[in-house]
Amino acid sequence: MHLHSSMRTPVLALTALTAILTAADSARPAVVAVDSGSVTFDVGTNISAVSVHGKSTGVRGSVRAKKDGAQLRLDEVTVSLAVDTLATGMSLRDEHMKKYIFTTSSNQMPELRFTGGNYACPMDSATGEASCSFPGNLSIRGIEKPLSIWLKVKSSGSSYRAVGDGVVKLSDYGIERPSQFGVKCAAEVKIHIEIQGKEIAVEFSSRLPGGVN
Amino acid sequence: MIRLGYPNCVSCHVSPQGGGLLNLYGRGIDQAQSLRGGEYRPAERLGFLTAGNRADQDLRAVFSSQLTTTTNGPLLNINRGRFFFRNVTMIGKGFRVTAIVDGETDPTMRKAKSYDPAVRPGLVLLSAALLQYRPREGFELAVGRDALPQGLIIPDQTTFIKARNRFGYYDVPSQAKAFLWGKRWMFSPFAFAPSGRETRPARESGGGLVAEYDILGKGKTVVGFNGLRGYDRVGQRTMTGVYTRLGFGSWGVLAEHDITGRHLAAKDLRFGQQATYVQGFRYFREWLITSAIVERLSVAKPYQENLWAFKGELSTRITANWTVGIRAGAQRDFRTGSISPVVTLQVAAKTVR
Repeated sequence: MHLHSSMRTPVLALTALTAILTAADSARPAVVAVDSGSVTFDVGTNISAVSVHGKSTGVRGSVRAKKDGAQLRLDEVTVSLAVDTLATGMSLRDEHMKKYIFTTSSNQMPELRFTGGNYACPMDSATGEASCSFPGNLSIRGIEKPLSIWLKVKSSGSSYRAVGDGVVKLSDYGIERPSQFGVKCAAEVKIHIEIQGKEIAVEFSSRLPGGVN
Repeated sequence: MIRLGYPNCVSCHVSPQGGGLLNLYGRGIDQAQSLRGGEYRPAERLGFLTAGNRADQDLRAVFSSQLTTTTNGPLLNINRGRFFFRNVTMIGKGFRVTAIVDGETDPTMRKAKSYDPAVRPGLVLLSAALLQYRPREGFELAVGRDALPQGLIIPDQTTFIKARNRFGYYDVPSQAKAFLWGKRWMFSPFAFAPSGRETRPARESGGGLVAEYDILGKGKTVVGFNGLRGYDRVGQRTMTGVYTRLGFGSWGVLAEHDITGRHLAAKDLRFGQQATYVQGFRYFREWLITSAIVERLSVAKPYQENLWAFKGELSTRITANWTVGIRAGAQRDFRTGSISPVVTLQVAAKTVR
């Protein structure tokens, strides 16, 4: 195809601009939106054979991720969970959990939210897996407290899979350990997070449920 | 309870072996798992009945109506009532006594075999009379009469793994047993001797072990071993079995496979028996459960048997006091080709303090 000489200049300029923008965009962290995921928790009691496990698949969120040599830089991490989606398999126990753990004194039940930002996790270039103790904040009952999550992130193309483990101390949030007929929950709750996500176009990021802009 | 992450019975039952009276926490769970649901509130001012909260007891009744037949046989209807008085009394310093008295309108006899004589039913039976000592959480000793520790705890005593291994209603020998347990494991060695109510040839002595472990540590993946060796006038038997209890959300699987080797002393005859039980269940609601069950029994020559049983169950716990269930299925004898369908309606009631 031959271009008319009067059109040649704007086409070349557009091509150059596109190349510059692409280069600039590749230097920016990609926005990864959570496609699916689950959060499970496990808490022991004063009776050795009794422990309580719960799960939710209602995880939402997003993160800015950038592979930078031997590290994966994570920023604007937001993962949230509606308390209503947590279930232990027994409705009465769920009611107790919501009432004694997640309800505020003003009878509100704010969502659980983990946030964190600008942290680089060392990445194994051979496996593409990054792992680190990721520092962030967990909000329960609307109260935000620091929480570090041992995180492993594996990426493949534009897809990401993250697995994290942490321990939440109820006393940090001023929550009394629930007790039922002599069975009393332990002070520490183990949590486990598994999420999958994909890079999305930046211009849509402001619409993300996690609120990344 | 495996689907909810309870790896063993001790969290809800007074006895770590399971069955019998529920403890306070267990009564709360029992009510929460019923159609009525809600909070369990223990009755107060029962000083006389509870001996100042040291004793706990209930009355339980199970009514069943069964329709059954065999190939070319008549249709049989059996209505049966079974009643239980169950009492646990704390006597202090970790000691307690347990008693269960059963009464029934019609015995549930298993067929006598030349290697396994018929049991003596009796319309009234002291099925448990135990002295138990729990010095601390995680350790208990028990001496007296009771059912032996066993792998799967299944209410239906007619299953092959129970009826063909002397784990029926009337098999309550004298015994000494220990229970040791932790978050992920339980271990129960035991020794037993005749209680005196058995027929003379079936007065058996021996010992065994039940041990189980929660593989993934979430209380939902338990695997176990049960072994037993017993001697009586007929000969000896050695039973080894493996079992599992698995829970996945509202689904679960209970399975057990037992291999029993027998030696008949008078004939110097050795032969084997294998019994398998697999139950898949699903809770549609916390109070509504359906099950599909497959069982198999094979006995080697010269007492050869090859039986399969297929059952479906639907059970609903209306309140902590009332449970209604229906079971339908058939047993097939692959040697004779005969089929025995059976339908059973069961209503269970118990008092709850």
